Amino acid sequence: MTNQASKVKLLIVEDEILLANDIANRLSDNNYTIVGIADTAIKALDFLSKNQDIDMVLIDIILKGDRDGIELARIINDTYNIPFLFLTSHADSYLIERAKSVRPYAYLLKPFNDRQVSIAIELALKNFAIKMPEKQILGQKTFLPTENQVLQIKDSLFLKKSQHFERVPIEEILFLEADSNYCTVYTRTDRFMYSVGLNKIEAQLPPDRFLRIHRSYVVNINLVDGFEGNMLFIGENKLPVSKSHKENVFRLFRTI
Amino acid sequence: MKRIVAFVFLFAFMNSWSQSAKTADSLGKVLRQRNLPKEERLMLLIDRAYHHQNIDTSLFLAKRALQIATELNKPVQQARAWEEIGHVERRLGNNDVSLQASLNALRIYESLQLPERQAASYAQLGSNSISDNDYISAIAYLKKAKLIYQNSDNTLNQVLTTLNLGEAYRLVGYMDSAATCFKETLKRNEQLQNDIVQGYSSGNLGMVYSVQSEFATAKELLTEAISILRNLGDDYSTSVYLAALGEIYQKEKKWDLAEEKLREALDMATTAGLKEQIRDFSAQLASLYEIQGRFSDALYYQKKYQIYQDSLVNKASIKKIEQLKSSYEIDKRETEISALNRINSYQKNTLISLVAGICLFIYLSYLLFKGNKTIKKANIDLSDQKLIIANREREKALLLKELNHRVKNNLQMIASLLNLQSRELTGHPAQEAIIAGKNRVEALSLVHSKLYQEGVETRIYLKEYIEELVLGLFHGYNIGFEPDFDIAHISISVDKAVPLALIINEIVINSLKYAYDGIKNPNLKVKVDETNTDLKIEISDNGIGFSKQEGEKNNSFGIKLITSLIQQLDGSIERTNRNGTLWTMKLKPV
Repeated sequence: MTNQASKVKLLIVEDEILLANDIANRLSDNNYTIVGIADTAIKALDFLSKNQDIDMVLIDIILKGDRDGIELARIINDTYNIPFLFLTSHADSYLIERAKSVRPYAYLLKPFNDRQVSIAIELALKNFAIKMPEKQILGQKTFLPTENQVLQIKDSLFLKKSQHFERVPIEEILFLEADSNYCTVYTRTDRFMYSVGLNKIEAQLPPDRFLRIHRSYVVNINLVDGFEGNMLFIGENKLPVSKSHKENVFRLFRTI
Repeated sequence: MKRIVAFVFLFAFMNSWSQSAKTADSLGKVLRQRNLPKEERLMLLIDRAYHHQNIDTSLFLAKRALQIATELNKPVQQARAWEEIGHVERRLGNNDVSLQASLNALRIYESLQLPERQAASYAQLGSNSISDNDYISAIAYLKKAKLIYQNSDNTLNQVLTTLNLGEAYRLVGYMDSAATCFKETLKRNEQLQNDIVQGYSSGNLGMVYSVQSEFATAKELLTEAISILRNLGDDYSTSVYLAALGEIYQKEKKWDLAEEKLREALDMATTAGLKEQIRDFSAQLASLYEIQGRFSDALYYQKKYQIYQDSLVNKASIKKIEQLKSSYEIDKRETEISALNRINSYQKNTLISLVAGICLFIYLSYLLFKGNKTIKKANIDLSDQKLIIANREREKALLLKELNHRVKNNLQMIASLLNLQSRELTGHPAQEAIIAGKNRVEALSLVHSKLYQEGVETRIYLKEYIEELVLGLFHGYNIGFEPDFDIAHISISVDKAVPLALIINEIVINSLKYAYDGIKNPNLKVKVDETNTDLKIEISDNGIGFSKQEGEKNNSFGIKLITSLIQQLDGSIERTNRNGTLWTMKLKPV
């Protein structure tokens, strides 16, 4: 359906291999990519160092080996700027206190079902985007409002599409087109349609790289190939520049 | 001059005073040992009264002795006490009382036929009578005493009594009888060779002769008496005899000698502080100088006489005052003693109650201490037990936690296994059965995860649980619409929760799988409320209706499950078709 690049990449750290496989299957069904399964903290760190594009780590608190999940989480916090969530069957207050100290972005309590797994991943992404560790371990959790989420994490936008997030690297975005309540993101290779207003996505984009040229268009300045009259060329597409934005736009493209 | 015999008597009777004082002290010590038998105490009291220097104390002791003697019915001691009271009262100047006391003593001695003691009493009475100027009585008493002594072999007492008798005669003016007495004493003294007796006898005899105008003999006797008594240091008698000698010289009109003797007598009296004698001698000198016509000297001595006369009158009044004082002192002392006795008995009572109180206090303290100790021990035991219980509780909680962990892990493992297996059976008819099994396990798991999240809660809230269960199924079956919930805030026990979870699981899956074929606006509603009589659960969909569903056949196991489980719950379930399917469950409220 979607290409691999747009998928959110996950690492699972869990010493019950069957369980890990099950989770991997469930997440794959939800269009997440499982980069790998590690059964110890050491292996997990090895994975992370070799795969810099991992978006999130799912960590079981109890792990075999010298280091447990919480210690692994601490190292991830110190070394990698990526979100993680804890997987545990414990609601033991001592363990929870320790877990809280490394500021996880979500908790997934065993036994879980598909829904709980998906919610936990979403929550972790969202909390990481707004830099807010999860405080609530128990209690009811629901999905974020569907089709309405745009998260910027590192150099990518995370756009929610049918109960999962898709990743779009910002540098690959050519332009965005608004169409009533929908918005289409054009990349070099693909296009994504979202039921989110253009303004909402624009707000998540770095302002020095994207520019509004029209009520319905926002373009990536770096990828503009040329212009002719009131039209900008980006890739194969020709986009109109409105009068109100004209001055702003053409100030950037000085004619030689 | 008049008191001379009384002095003699006292000299004989009251011997060494310094020794007496010591005796009195030691007796006092002995007396203070309270455990003495009464008789012994009585003797001691009498002795002490006799020896004591303080007149008031002596009187008190004597009275006390009298009291005890009366109590014990000891007449001799009574008499002795009376005798002592007589002495003391005389010394105090209470002559009447003294006389009465002495008479009492005498009476007792008479009735007991103790001549010696009688004689002593008579002698005392006589001597007292002389002091009171009652010479006739004195003579009578002394005669009786003398009579008794004549029959005894106590020559000294006999001589002394005769001497006093003579003095009494002399003072009353029976000069011949007096002379006879004194001659007798002088004669008897030839054997005794007692200087005092010799001195007094000759002196007094000299004074008798002086009255009888036999001046030569008188002078001779007086001179002898003076020489003897001067050697003995008896200033009183010496000065009296000197004055008597001076008077003889005056009568002989030998003025110079008279003046010399009188002045010597006066000097001696002055040195010895004998006021009465100073007064008498001054008067004599004044008359001597008057006769000689030396009026200025006469006036001087007349004045001296007057001064001493006044002072002696004063002395009498002072004596009276002293008497009053001492009787007051005695009263006071008696009051004090009775007060002391009262205090003593009071103190004794206080002491007894104090001791009893202390004993009680110690006993109570002991009880308290013992009680405290018991309580402490019990407390220690209790806290030990508490600690053990707390440890057990902790262990239990730990075990329970571990158990929960394992249960949850295992449930997860079962669900995961089924899930993994179902994936391998893609397209195979068994896949559906495996997924159904997985869903059932997940429904169970949800009960556990809700149940054991915190503490040892054995009840779960239906709202939270049912919502999560249904939403999970919607997610699992990838349903595009949202279910409706109307669930009251009710909690049920875990025993009920598990079958209920499975029932709801079956019904909802059934609807999701078969009901919405071609339905435009699908919905599913779960409603739970509680009445007084039962818990009502309604699950409704707007699907194609049950009769048209193939579900009944396809999911016959699900239906069987529902029937069995509702039976287990003692409830009822009813299915109606009304714009879809409505399942109505009624359970007993829990």
